[in-house]
Amino acid sequence: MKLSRRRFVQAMAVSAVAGVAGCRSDSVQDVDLHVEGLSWHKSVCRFCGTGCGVQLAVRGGRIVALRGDPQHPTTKGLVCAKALFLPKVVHSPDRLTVPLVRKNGKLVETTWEEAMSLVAKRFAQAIREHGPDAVAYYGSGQCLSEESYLANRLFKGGIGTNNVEGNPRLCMASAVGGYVSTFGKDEPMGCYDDIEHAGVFFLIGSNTAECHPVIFDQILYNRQKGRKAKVIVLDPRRSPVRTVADVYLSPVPGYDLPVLHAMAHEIIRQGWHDEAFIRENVTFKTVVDGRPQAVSFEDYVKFLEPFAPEKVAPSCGVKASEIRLAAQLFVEGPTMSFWTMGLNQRVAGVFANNLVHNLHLITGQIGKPGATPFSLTGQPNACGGVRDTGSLSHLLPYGRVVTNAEHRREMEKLWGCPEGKIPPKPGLHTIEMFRALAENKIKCLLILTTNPGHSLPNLTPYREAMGKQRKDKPFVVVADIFPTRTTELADVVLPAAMWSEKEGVFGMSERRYQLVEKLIDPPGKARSDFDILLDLATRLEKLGVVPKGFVSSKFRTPEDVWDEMREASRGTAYDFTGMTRQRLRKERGLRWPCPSEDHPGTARRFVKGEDPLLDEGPYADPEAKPGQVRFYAQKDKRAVVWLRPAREPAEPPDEQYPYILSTGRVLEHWHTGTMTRRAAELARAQPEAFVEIHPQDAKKLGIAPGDLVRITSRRGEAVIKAHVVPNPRPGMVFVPFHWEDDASLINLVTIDAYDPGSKQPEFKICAVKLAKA
Amino acid sequence: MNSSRPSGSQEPAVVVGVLARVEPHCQEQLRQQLERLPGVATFELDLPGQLGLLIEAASPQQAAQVLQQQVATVPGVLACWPVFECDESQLPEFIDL
Repeated sequence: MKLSRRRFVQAMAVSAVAGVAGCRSDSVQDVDLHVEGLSWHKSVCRFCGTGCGVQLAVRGGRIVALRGDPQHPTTKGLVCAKALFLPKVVHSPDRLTVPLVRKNGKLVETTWEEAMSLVAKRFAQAIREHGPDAVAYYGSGQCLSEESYLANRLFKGGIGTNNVEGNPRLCMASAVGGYVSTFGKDEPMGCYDDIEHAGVFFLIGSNTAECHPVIFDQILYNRQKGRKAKVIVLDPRRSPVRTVADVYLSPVPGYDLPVLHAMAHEIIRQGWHDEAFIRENVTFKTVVDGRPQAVSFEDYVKFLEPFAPEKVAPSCGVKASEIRLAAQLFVEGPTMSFWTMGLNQRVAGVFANNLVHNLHLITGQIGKPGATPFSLTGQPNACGGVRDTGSLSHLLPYGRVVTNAEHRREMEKLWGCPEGKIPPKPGLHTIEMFRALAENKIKCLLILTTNPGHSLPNLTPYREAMGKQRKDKPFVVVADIFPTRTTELADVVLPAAMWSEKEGVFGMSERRYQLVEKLIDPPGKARSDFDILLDLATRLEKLGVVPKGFVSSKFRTPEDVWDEMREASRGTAYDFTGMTRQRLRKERGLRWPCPSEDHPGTARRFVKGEDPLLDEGPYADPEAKPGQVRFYAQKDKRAVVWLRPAREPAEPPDEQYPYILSTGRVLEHWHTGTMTRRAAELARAQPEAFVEIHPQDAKKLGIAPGDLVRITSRRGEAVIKAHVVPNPRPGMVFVPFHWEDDASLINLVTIDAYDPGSKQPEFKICAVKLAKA
Repeated sequence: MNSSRPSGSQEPAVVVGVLARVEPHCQEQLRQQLERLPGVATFELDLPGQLGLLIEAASPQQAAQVLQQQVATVPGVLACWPVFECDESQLPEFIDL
C-alpha cells in the first residue's frame, strides 16, 4: 500500500495528538510502523512529580521515541507535550561531554583525573583547615534516590557536616512542614486513585492544567465522564484551571489564609463539621511562647470568630457568598485538595498547608476514597530522592531528624560511623547556605543536577557569591548535563549522565517508587552522579577526611545503595523493605509502606485495612476497625488542627513599589528551561519571556500588548514583553521564570524572604514598580 | 478528520499536530471557528474539552505564528500543546506501508 507523504505525516500527527490525549481518534487511519531494530522499554518521565509511566524506543544506542505507557497503573498511557520531546533533549548537541576546569578565568577542557583530583584536594583542604562545616552539598529533586542518599551519607556521616541541601527547599519545604506538623510525618496519605473517587476537587495555588497536565486530564475525565466532580479554585491568577471551576475565588495575593479560615468558620457555623471524626482523630493546638500548646475545639471556634466570611471578604478581595459556597461544596465531598507552589513558596507556606489540612480534618474528608489533602510535586524525585532520604540540612533518612539523638545513633550505626559523627544541629538551609558562601564561611560547594544561578530568588548576591573572582573565592563544583547559568560560575564543571543513561529510583508524589533503567550510554565522557560521588568519596577517604572504606568498601552499584536504603526504612513509617530491585524491574512502581516482598504496596496510609503498618510492627493498632483512620505518626495518634495566624507577605506593595509580582510556569517549559528550551518545537511554542499585566493596569501605564516592560524591585530589574490579559488581578503581574538571558531573568527581581518554619522563599509575592521600557 | 482542506496544497509543508484544550460547553462552535482559519484542520478526540488540530504551513516559523497568533487567541481556547512537527520535504513523495 502506498500513501502520499502528506497523508502519512497527517496520520502521524493525529496519532501523536491522540496518544498525548490518552485516546484513539476514530477518524485516524492507524499507521503501524514496523521498524527494524527498535526495542521498547518501560521507564518514567523525567519532568514533573506526577511520575507518568512512559515507554522508550531504543535503536542503535539512541532513544528515538517516547510514548505513554498504557500499562502504567495510575497514569495509564497519558503523557504531556514536554515528555514527548525528551528524546531530543537527551541527544541535544549541547550536552556537556568533557570535564572543564577554570584556568585564568576561563573554563577549559580537562580529564576526569585532573578534575576530580582538584575537587577532592580543595574539599579536603577546606575540611582540614576550617572544619567540616566549611563544605556543603546542594542537590536536586532530579537526582536519582541512590545519588541523593549517597551524597547525604557522605556529607553527614562521612565528612560530619549537615550542610546538605537541595532545590526541593525552593519548592516543597512548606508542604513537608505542613505534613509533619499536622500528621507527624511527611508525604501524602492519599494517592492518584483518589482522583477517580473524588466528588469535589479543591485546587489552591496550583496551575494544574499547565504544571501537572496529566493530573488535570484525570480531573477533567472525572468531571466529564466519571463522578462529575465539582471544582473549587482558589488562586489570585486566572490560570487555565479557573475555566473548569464551579466556584472561583481570586483573593489578593497573600490573603488566602483568611479565606481558608473563613471556610472553616462557615463549616462550623453551619454544623457541617464531623464531630465523631474530630472526637476520635483530631487535637487542636496553638503556639504560645514558641511552644505548641493543646487547646479545645471551643478555643478553635473562638479563634475563628474574626474570620467570618463577611468580615474577611473586603480585605481578601473575595465575596463572602463565594466563600460560603466554597465551604458548602467542600463538605459535599469526597473532597480531594491539590496544591503546589502558590501555597508553598510563601513566608506563610507551612501555615497555609496547615489550614488546608484543617479543612479536611474538621470535615472528616480524609482517609476515604476520594477524600485527601494532596500536595503535588514539581520535580520527578523531590519526594523519594530528597524528602524521603532526608537530604536536607535538618533531616536524616525516612522521617528522622538530626536534632533527635536516637535518630542520629540509628543512622550512625547503619552507616558504620563513630557515635557523634553526625552533628546534632541542623546545617545551613538553602538561602543561608548561599549567604554563607557570600561571606566565605563555606569554602567549597558541590552542586548536582540543579541550576541555582538561575533559580534562587534575589539572584544578584548569590551569583556573585558563586562566581565573582575575589580573594578567597569559594570553590564551586557543578555537575550537569547542559551549560547553564550556574555552570558559567563554576570552578569545575562535570559532565553528567542523564535519565536513562543511568539506573536508579524516582519517587513521585503518591509515594510510588519507580525504577529508571539504564538504556543507553551517556555521551562523550559524561558520568552518572552516582559515579561522581563514589569517586569523590574514595578520594576523600584516601586524603583522610572521610573514614577509610566508609563509602568505597560498601557500594559498587546503585543497587548496593538501594539495599541499604531499604534497610534504613525498616521499622519506620516509610518501610519499603519489600521493594527489592527485582520487583522494581518488573513492576511499574510500588507505593510505600511496602514492608514485605509479598506486599503489593499501600494506596492509603493511616487507614486500617489498607496500611500494613497498622497490622504489624511499631505502629500496629489491633483495636482499630477496618476503614478507621489512625494517625500513628503522631504520638497520640491524632492529627493536629492548628490555630495559625494569617501571616501576611514579607513585602506588600507600597507607594514606591505598588504592584505585586508573582512568578510561575508555562505548559511548554520546565523550571529553568535548560531541557525544554533545547527542544525546538517547545522553544518555538513559547520562545520568550512575557509579563502578564491586567488591561486596567496596562492602560494606566500606557503599555500596549508587545511593549517591553521594565519590572523593578528593591533588588533588581528585568525587561520583558507585555501580554495584556485579564489573568492576574489588577495590581498584580505574572512572569514565568524559564528564560535565562539577563533581561528575562526574573529571579533578579524576586525576594529571598523565607518561611521561618520551612525556610522556603517567597517567590510568589514581592513588590515591584512597572514602566514601559 | 473534519476537514481535508489543508491537504489541498501541493507545496511542501510543515505539518504540526496540536492538542488543544477548549471550553467544553462551546466545543462545536470553537471547532467550526478554528476550521475557518487558513491551514488549520480539526479532529475529534474522546474527551470533551479536547480538540485535535492539524496546522499546515510553509515553515515551522509560520506554523508557530498561526498557533500563537491565531489559534491560541481564539476566546475559549484554553491551551494548545504542539506535540508533533514534521517537514514533509524530508520524506519521499509516497510512503510504502
